[in-house]
Amino acid sequence: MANDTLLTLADIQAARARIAAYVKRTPVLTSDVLDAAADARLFFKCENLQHIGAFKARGAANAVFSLSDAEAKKGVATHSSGNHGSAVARAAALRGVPAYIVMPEGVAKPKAEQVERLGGRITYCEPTLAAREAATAKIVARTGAAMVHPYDNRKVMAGQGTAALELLEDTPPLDLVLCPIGGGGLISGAATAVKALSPATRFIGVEPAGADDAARSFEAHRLIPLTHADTMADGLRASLSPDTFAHIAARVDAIATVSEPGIAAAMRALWEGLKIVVEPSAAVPYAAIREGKVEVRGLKVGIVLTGGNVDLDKLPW
Amino acid sequence: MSVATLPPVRPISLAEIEAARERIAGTILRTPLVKLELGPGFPDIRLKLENLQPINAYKLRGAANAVALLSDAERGKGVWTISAGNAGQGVAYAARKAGVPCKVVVIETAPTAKLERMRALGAELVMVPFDVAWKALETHEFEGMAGTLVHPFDDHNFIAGHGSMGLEILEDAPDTVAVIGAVGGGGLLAGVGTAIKAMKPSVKVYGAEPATAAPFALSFAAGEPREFPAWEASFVDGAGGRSVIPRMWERMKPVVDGALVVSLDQTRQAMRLMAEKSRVIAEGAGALSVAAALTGEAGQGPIVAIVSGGNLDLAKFCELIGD
Repeated sequence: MANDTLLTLADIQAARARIAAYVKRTPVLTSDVLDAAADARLFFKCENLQHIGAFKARGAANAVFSLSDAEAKKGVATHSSGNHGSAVARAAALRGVPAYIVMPEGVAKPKAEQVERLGGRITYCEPTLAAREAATAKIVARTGAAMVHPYDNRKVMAGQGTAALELLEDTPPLDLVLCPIGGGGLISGAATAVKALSPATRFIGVEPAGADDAARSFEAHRLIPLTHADTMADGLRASLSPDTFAHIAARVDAIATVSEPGIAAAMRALWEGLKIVVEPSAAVPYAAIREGKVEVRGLKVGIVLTGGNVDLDKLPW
Repeated sequence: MSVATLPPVRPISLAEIEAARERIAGTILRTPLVKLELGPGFPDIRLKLENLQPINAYKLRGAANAVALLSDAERGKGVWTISAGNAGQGVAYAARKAGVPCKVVVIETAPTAKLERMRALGAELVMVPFDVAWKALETHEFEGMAGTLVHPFDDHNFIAGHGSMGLEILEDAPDTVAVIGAVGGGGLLAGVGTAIKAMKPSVKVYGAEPATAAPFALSFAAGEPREFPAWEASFVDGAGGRSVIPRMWERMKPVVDGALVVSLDQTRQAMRLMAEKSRVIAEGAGALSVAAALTGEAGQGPIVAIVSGGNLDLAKFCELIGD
């Protein structure tokens, strides 16, 4: 896919204006303890403090509020085992239209409860991607709802990228930005913003070694779908789409992978250092620093902490 | 200097607080005020997240103001303070940033992590028993210390720095009807209360304490500073003193409307609730205000609960929030 068909800075700026009233400008936190440990200056963009506890509120709001009244009238639909479902339910409630959320059976109860609390109508299905897609397609056919894919959707990608715009505004010029990769929605938007506004800043994506489709695809210069995910980072088990892979190939400088013990240790260090609750997926970029997978010595580094929805009774330590 | 010769307590003006705010802007974080999402049937509670300050406690505000107000001559001689934890980190952080030498008289039983962090911030530590530290707090002196004392609560400029938080609260939530903060030494409530009452006197200001250490509540009921005879140590180590120091009573009394007391169990539950709903880690003292707001005794809100800090051992935190 040629560069001129990818997202642009203007798309992300338009998203920002569209969602300004519906999302929080989250704080950027620093810690002298974490800086000393890394011998670097680390700037953490805290999307765990976003509405619904994750950056997903941004993309869903941009997608739902981009619909025309006619398109939105019959509601919106998506499939999600986590934060995106809550984000779509919330955005739909703000727009005053129904939200149909397909969730796999056995989904973490707090996540289903959050969707319900936000007014989402849940349909349960078998826990496979095929079953999720089939159930969602059925709902779309029956209701006429507009599909809001968790990441393979330009409005969602652009909305997620608004987090990077704020990060750049609230920090000194950054040498490096790190963000995790799941389906690739966040990194597509964020790398677009960073490379447009600060071309000298390197952008590195990080994913668990147990869900390393982005690393393998990046290396091979072609999309290699994820067939099996084995990681505690439940937000990063999705497979890239052709479109998100095209953005990564064009705008990301490197991909690093991290181990499961590394993710747990990084999560713990972030709780201790920043006094905030982050979920395993959010700890993945910092794990790359701790494991020495990314060289940061002497650098100013921006890190997107993507979310904080975790079962407090099942912590990985 | 003995207690008798300390400069008399004088009121802090709004202008002093506004000036402090400008002075410390480059050192502190303008912390977010976030709604605690509890759904219907609960008071409207907003959290002022001072646990997100660079030293993870509000004390940095006062420390940064006190250090910034030093003359050139005073800067050369350095600063010192007396602390078991958050104030020492605040003064050490502000002093390092300003390039001023710093010594801290610390209670020898303070957690290693806090001592290490103060050392990492460049402070020189002098370890003493609790009673020696307490005497230094009362008399404002300690042998061998040169330079300016930044007292961890009984200090005009320190308290004026904390007042900056009150200005931010009313900017972010002009509809606030009550503000709750923990009482330890009393500096937080004196500073924030002064700012709030100067800007909007109708807003109620409450002090919160654990039932195991509640001298402010006793003092409030008696109308004069009191000791708390049944004092017990607990995980709420950043608030709840053995007594209210008369000079601090004088500072708090004009700007505080009431005292709220919560159990240790209510405090623990508030810590869990904040972790779950707002994704933040509060220390015991930082959760007192939220626990107090949840009792309903401060009304239906909007209530601003000051989350004063987040410095506690993570293993301890996980144990406290577990079922």
